[in-house]
Amino acid sequence: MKISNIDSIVFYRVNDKYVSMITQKESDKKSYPISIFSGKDIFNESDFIDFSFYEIIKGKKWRKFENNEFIILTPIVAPIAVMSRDLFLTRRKERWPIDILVHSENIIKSKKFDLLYNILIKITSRRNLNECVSLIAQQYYFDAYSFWKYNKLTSTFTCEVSSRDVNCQAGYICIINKPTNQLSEFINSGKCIDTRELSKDCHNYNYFSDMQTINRIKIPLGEAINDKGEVGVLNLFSKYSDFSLSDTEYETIVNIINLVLREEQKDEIALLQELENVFINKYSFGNLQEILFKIVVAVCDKIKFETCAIFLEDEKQEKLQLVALKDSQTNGKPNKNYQCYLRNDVSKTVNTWIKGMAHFSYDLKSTPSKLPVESTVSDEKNCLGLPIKSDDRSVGVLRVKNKINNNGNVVHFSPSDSRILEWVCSSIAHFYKIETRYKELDDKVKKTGADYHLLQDFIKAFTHEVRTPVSIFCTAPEMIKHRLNGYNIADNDKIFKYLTDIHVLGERLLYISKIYTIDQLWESYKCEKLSLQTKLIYPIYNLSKYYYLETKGIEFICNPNDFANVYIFGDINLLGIALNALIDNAAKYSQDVSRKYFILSRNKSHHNVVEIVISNYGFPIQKNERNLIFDKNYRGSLAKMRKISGSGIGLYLSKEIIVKHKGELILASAENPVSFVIRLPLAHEG
Amino acid sequence: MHKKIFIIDDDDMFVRYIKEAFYEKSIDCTHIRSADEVVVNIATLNSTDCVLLDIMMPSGSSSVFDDAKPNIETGEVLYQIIRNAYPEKLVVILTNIDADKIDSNIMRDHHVKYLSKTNKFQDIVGSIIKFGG
Repeated sequence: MKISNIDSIVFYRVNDKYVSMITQKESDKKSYPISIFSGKDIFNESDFIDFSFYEIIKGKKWRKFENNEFIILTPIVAPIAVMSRDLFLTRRKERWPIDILVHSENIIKSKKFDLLYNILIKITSRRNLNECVSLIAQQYYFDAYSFWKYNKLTSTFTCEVSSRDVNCQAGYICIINKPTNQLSEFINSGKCIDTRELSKDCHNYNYFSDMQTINRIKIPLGEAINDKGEVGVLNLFSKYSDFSLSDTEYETIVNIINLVLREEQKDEIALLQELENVFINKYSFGNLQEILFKIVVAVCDKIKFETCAIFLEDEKQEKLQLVALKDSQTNGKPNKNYQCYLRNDVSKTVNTWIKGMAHFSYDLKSTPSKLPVESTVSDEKNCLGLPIKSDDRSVGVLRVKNKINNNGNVVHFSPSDSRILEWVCSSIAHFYKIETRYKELDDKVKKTGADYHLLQDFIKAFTHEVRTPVSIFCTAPEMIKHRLNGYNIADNDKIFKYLTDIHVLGERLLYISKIYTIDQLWESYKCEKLSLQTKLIYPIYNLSKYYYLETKGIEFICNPNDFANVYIFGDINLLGIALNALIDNAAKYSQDVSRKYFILSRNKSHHNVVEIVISNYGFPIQKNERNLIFDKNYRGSLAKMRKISGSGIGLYLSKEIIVKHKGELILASAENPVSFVIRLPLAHEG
Repeated sequence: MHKKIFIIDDDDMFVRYIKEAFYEKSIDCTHIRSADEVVVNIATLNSTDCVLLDIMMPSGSSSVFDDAKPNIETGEVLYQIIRNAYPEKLVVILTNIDADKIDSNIMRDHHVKYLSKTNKFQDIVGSIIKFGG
């Protein structure tokens, strides 16, 4: 079997074996499974089943990429520089081992770049950004590279990776903070990829002066470019002119870099979780101050700042007060009398507060290294002030100063730093909002607390009123039996009295229970034609007259015959409740007066309505209260003064019921007597 | 066995029934209907073995009730009046409201017992006799 024009060899894993397939030249569409090996060491002769293939690979130098799915062998060839350009370009077209597989008719159906992507993902995901960019440059045959991140928050570019920049290689990050530069122009251009000849580029790349072409790739990192967030710019340099990437290659590179950065962000995530444990999980209402102390200490300790301060506005939103500070002398609680910032103070901190925008200032004089040409100095101090925003309004400022590295040197803020600080500000804003809401709620609860006690008192009174008759209602029959044992059945007086009591109390119980469940009453409303005399007047009069006379010494005066042949439409229970409430009121207010009686009568006047009048000679209703007495829960001042029991519901309820029956309830007279008139439409015979 | 009991309750009907139950046990009952009567007759409580007090009483006109919620707290004021005059007098709170709705300071008093009015009269009387030993 002849093998020619082989670039790389791919072994595809099938169960515990690796299968390799190669083809001949592109014109030869046949595929041949060449070899299978099942050992761990591809270069171990005994692991190969097909020795003819082994003969091919032994003796040569191979670069091996390996994971659980693939092993790729790429022959180690001479450096690019010694290769002719034509050969190089040819190789560039045929460089992918996957090309071989694409032409095969066998089991691997993946498209070229998908498979490459999968391979490279698995290869590069274990590596850091520097190695990843280096690998990408190698894979795509570029000669040099650099990778920049743009931080919109601080408006700076930081060079994180460079194959030639001495500063980057030494671990220092270069900064560009010019409003206009090549990178800014590219980011704002709307292009995702830009290839140009370096000789035509107006900017001199000191470290890449021997390059001919630059390929710039815009890489959104995390969030969209036009929103907050970072953008990366990958520069790939080639010694050859007109050396450009394709669209699919660009996509692959973007995905790979984002994947690697996701790995790097795990450190950031771990730090966020640490910070979370320091204060997020410890906040509860009322301890905001203590939490702010913890925050400033944690920001300095864990994110490595020299100073951290938190300012919050006062309740009137007129001043910005220092509420927490960590520096060399203070460990959370500010122990000096720091002056507040006022709104019209000239200060970057106030600017941040009022405008709700971060301000950033930098002092690069602290860096030990020689600065690249692009770097500039903006402001004097290494400070960063971030707004603390709650409901889109700035309520405070978080300020940090001097990022310190492990050696104790002042270094530059990284985009990761500003991301974490933004998260801290967001957490503070969240606590601030909760604290404010809780204070409002606390005030309301205090008010509600009063209402709650009122409700409790009502429940106590209601319970007492309901259970009192119930206890007698339950016991009276026992008493009857007990009595009957010793008495002749013909002795009707006491028996009648007990039975009457039971009946009256039962009615009272029903009345009391119903007036506190008015909604259920409406639901069970049943309209029927009622005889006023037999259905409403007689039952109430016959039972209540004895009750009031015996228990309260009050006479109930009524002539039921006045209501003969009067018919109305309505619900018997509701109308009974309304009438009972008015009669009960009349009796109640007749207790401590000279004329201990009340009257139920009828005005004989109208053709289409019946007027029922309830009058008593109790104390009058004050002028200023006559419009209020039908309001729910309203109790007259005289009633309160004389401590006459009541809940203020009777008149309100009666009116609601009468109105529901298309009638009226009015105060016809406010004193001597106090008279209420119920007007109801008549239901004529037939 | 108690010989004399004072019943402080505004519910005449209830008192009428319970008096009959006490009479059957040869226990004499004196009925005090209002808060004002308690204030006026506090000295006469000296002769009683036990006081039955409904904790929900209409308020009185005396100034001692001015700060109390009418009906709701009148009984508690009455209790204090009795307790101030008779530190060790047995007071049975005979009422319709639940024990946990009553001022806990009253309920913690060793000389206070609680009975619900919803019990049968004979049971109420039996319990009161037991309280007295």
